[in-house]
Amino acid sequence: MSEKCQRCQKHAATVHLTEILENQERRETHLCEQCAAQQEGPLETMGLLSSAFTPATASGDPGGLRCSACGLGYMEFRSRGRLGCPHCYEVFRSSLEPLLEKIHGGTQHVGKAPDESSAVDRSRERRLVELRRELQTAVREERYEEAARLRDRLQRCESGEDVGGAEGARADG
Amino acid sequence: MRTAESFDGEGVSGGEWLSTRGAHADIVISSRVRLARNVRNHRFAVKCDGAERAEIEQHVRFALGRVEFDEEMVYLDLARAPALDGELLVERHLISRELAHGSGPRAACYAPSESVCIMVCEEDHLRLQVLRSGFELDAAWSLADDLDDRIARRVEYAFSSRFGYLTCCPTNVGTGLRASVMLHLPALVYSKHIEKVFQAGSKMNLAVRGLYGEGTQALGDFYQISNQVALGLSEQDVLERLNRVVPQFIDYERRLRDALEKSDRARLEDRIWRAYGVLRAARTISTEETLELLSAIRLGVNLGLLPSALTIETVNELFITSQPAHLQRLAQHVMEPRERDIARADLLRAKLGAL
Repeated sequence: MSEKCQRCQKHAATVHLTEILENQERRETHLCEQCAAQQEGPLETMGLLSSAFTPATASGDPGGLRCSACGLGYMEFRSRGRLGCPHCYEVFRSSLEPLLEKIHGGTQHVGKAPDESSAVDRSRERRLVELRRELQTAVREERYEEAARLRDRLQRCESGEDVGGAEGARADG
Repeated sequence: MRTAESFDGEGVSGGEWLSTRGAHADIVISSRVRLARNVRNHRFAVKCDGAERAEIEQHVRFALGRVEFDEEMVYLDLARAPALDGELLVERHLISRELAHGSGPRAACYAPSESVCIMVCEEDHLRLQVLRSGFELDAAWSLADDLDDRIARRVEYAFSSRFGYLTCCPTNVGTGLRASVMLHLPALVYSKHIEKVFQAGSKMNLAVRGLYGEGTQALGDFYQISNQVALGLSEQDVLERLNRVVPQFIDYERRLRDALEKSDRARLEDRIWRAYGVLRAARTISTEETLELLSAIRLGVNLGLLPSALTIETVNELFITSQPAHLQRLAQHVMEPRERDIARADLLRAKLGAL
């Protein structure tokens, strides 16, 4: 699936550049992060998102930063302009804030938030997701007796909605 | 909710938003509200491996199945559906090209009336869209807001009090809201004033785009106006800005239509009647030419210059059904471009020639 870096031919290519040349032709370059970090030129002129960044040195060289939750590296984020997971917002915060300021003119969310009153519902949904996952595993592993039990619990938990789902789940849990 | 592996809509007529029920429907084709949401404790779709993506898709499918919608939703598994079905949904403006052409687990969960569509595992895990005929942004928002709350009771969203709803692309973070209206502005184009719309838009931090959204051409004199700011402005602020600016564009287009009718009537009528003539007589015709000519007759119908048997609904529908995937759906087989141009001319003659 994953192709090799065009430069070192060793690591998997995770940074994919598409340049539009002067004659309107496209040039695609596929690099690993290490080689991409050394790349001059195209990465620096990669359009709106990357150009909106403050110089890396300004916030203590974030070049080496990597998100522990999803593995996204700073250079990859810079070249693609996409984050890998919710945690990235904390990891790359210092370089994100000036970027968000440029894009939106603000960095503090104002607007709706998930309704707190639905927290009970969400905990039941979490329980349902767990049960469903256990059920699938049981079926896959051909543990049919357990699967039948899990299916019944899943059904009770689902219909428990009318009489207070959390209670229902606890009663048979 | 019912799960489907192929698009079983009629395929020959359009969604409810193509009707002309909404306000200012002569100029505003549709209003759209989109909310980008991601499931908590998961990587964004671009960074997921196959297993995690499948897990998210299943989780969302299961959760959506338990949400109460006003209509019974159809959950179309795009990983299993024929490629043509994805194209059909793109042409009907229900999903993005990115979702249709993507790979791995992904889906479109839509209402049969086509006024609601949730893209599953596009760039964000969920993209909820509400579509309305005419200039009805507030109504679209109020339904989207309500559906968003209902879904949030089933799915835990990735949210931070600082940055709001966390999205894959930093341009969407915050409210995750993109509100847009699709405008038909032929008089602004004929009079070469369309640049002013672009300028006014950018001054107000609004994006002006072509027919199929980001990075597409303004075919058929259609322009999409949408907000660019999602962080630091509330949903109401965003809507309020559009509600203030869009009526000015509508008004501008109306005044130019009046002016064209008064000062340049012969040329205007000539342009419209020629378009009508070609559409009723052509034996082979491209998508681009069709869009251009349909735009002219759409203006003609709105100005009352063409036979009254021809309605805006018919013209609106032809914009959709003369597209490549729709022609192939109608013909029930795959067609080469040249063959499609012939089928397109046949369809147009059948719909317009009989009037």
